[in-house]
Amino acid sequence: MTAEDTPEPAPEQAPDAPTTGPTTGPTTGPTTEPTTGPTTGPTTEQTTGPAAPDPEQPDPEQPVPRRRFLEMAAVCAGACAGVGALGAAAAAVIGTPLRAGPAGDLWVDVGPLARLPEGQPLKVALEGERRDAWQRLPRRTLGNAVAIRRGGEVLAWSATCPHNGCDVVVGERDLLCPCHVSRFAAADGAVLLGPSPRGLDRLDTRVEDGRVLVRFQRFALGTAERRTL
Amino acid sequence: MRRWLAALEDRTGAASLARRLLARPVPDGPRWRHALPAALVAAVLVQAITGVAMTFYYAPGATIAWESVLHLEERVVLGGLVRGLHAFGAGAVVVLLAAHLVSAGLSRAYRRPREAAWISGLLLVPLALGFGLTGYLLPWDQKGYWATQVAVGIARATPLVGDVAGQVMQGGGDLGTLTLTRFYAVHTLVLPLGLLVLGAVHVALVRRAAAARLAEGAVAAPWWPGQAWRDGLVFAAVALVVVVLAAARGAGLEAPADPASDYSPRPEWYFAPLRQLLTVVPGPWGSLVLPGGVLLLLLALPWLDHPDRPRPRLARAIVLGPPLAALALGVQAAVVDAGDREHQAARTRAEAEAALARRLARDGVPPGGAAELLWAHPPLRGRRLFQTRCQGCHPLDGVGGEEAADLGPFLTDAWLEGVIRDPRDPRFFGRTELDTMPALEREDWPKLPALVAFLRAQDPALAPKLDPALVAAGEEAYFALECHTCHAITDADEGGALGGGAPSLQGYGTPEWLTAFLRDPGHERFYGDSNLMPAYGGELDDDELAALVVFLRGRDPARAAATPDR
Ligand code: FES
Repeated sequence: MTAEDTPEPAPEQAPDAPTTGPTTGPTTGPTTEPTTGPTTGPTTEQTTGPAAPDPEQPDPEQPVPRRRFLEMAAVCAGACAGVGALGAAAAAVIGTPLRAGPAGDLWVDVGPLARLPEGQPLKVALEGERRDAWQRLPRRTLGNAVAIRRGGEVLAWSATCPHNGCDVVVGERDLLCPCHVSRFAAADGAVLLGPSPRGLDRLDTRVEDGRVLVRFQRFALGTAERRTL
Repeated sequence: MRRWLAALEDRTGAASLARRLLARPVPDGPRWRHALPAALVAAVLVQAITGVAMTFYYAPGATIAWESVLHLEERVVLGGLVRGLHAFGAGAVVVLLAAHLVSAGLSRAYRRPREAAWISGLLLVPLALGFGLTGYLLPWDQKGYWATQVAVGIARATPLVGDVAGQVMQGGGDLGTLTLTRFYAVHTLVLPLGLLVLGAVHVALVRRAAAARLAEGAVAAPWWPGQAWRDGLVFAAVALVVVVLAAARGAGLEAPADPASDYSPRPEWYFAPLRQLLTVVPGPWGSLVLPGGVLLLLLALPWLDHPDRPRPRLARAIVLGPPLAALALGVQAAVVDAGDREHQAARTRAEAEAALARRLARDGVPPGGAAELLWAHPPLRGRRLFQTRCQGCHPLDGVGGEEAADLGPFLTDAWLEGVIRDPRDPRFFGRTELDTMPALEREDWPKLPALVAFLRAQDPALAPKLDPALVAAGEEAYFALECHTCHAITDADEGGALGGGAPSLQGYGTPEWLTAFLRDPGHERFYGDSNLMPAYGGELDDDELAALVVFLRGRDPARAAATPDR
């Protein structure tokens, strides 16, 4: 089709014949023949041979005959549909992982409740299975948390500084991010000082059979509002 | 020979083609600045060749990418050099591209009829930066991982499209294997194809404009040899710098990406100005509006400085402004980093970690990748176990629970001396109910170094480094002070005077002693009935106990050095 279109711009009006000729001429039977023609040897002769001097339809009144316009429109529409379908398919293929959503709840066992000091913040590593695409990676540290026990309950915060993602350390009186010196209250993780846009991010916790479980989550950095990733 | 050439010419026309190419007229004649695009093309070719060479070894994937790069670096002949050439060559491409653009801009190569050539050239800049961004992640080491983490964070902060853009980049909600596979595809297929197309369009447009100028009668000289040697010399100079840097410094490979670590990320050096801009102008203004605005200004240059309405000053400002600003920002970034103690400390940590990871991975990695090796590395694993199992009672250098001895300097000379001198000090057993052991009389303090040496001598790993005379003096003091009546030290001692509950110190500090102690501190060999500490025999498995022991012994640098950690 495109091969037929290319010669058009140059001989705009007069020699319309080469393209319109064979298709318009014999309406019923041979219409398909010339179009499919070029694949086989003898038919090529037919298309180029009799088509060039075709005297049948010069049609001087209409600069762009309706038939030809329809043909062009059909080609364009077909091409658009094809490209659109390809694009949609490509987007679907490339976009598949985006629908995966969060990796699910990751409750991490951080050991017996009795091992946590009463009222003393403590940094603990959250160890568990990391899932990545088709892989299960069992022996991994997912992240760190700061945990504090209050009687039979445990509070935990992600140790990742909400400012830029450094790990906070437990200081003498508060929690400190060494990167840009943000300080957080040990009691509730609120910002006391420094550039962190929000307090430390709380992690869910529960105690089961005397063991402490912390739910691992990650949060968007650098924003005042808290968004889980 | 000549017959062969003639025959070749006859069949292919190769000789006349070569002659035509050599004699190709260069408008304005030979110029140094004309050598920039030639050197650029050559540098891109080097990238293509080294890149293809690396794909023979590289494998994308979170548990395999870093490992394959390490293999390339350490096992493949010239592997490190090839990687280095590719890494520094990327910088050379960026520099040459920028220089070419500036030189084209200064010689007004954007003016009619060369607008299209100018624009197609400008569009190569984001393409080149795209190569840099995607390539940086592929080794999946800490620096690539965290730099990409930052880049995705910046993309995410873009209003409206940010979230989707970030996710499309990452191939999901997080950086991982799917990020690597897509960065790999983009870096090795999509961008090279784009470069091929855009580069061909650019060259064709430049050629077309040159032909037009020649037709108008511009002066010209053949490419060979006047321009040829200039091209060659410029490329040789660039290549020399790249080869020297690649051979001397290499591309570098840090520890495998670890999402749980805190790392002080910095992008590749040619991104440093953009990063610095972001600290000066935070948010989408610095990440999108300003750089995008500069690009738009450059794209609009053919119309801003139109032959009908020339504005040469403005044009020069637009051409020279961005590279000068980038230079200033880059220098500022370097100065800030050099003065940033935290960043420097983080660099030192990262280098130590990188060396450790490479050492551990040297004789092969498990299916879980090198990250698993690091995870299981006893000193690191032991520290994590200490945090969750021990630190609730035993502080570590003042941090943690306050119910038992501070184990920060455990087993060091100072710690042992301190315990013997005053066991009731809160740093030792002062917070526990263990109060039977008396403090050492002041007149016996001079014996402390000898006593400590004797206790250290219980650990055969340390014995060769100790002064035998001092150890002997310590042994004498140990018995003279009747330590052995409570703390057995030979098979003959019964221990347990003063009501029992004093651990045997035979083999004190050895892995065997510590493991047995952790398993069951209430055993009669240790605290017996007066024990207050939980038994870890059931709670931790053998691997975990061993890791914890390595960590505990590691409090004393001499012991850490005396026993290999694997
Ligand atoms: S990362 Fe914590 S203060 Fe900047």
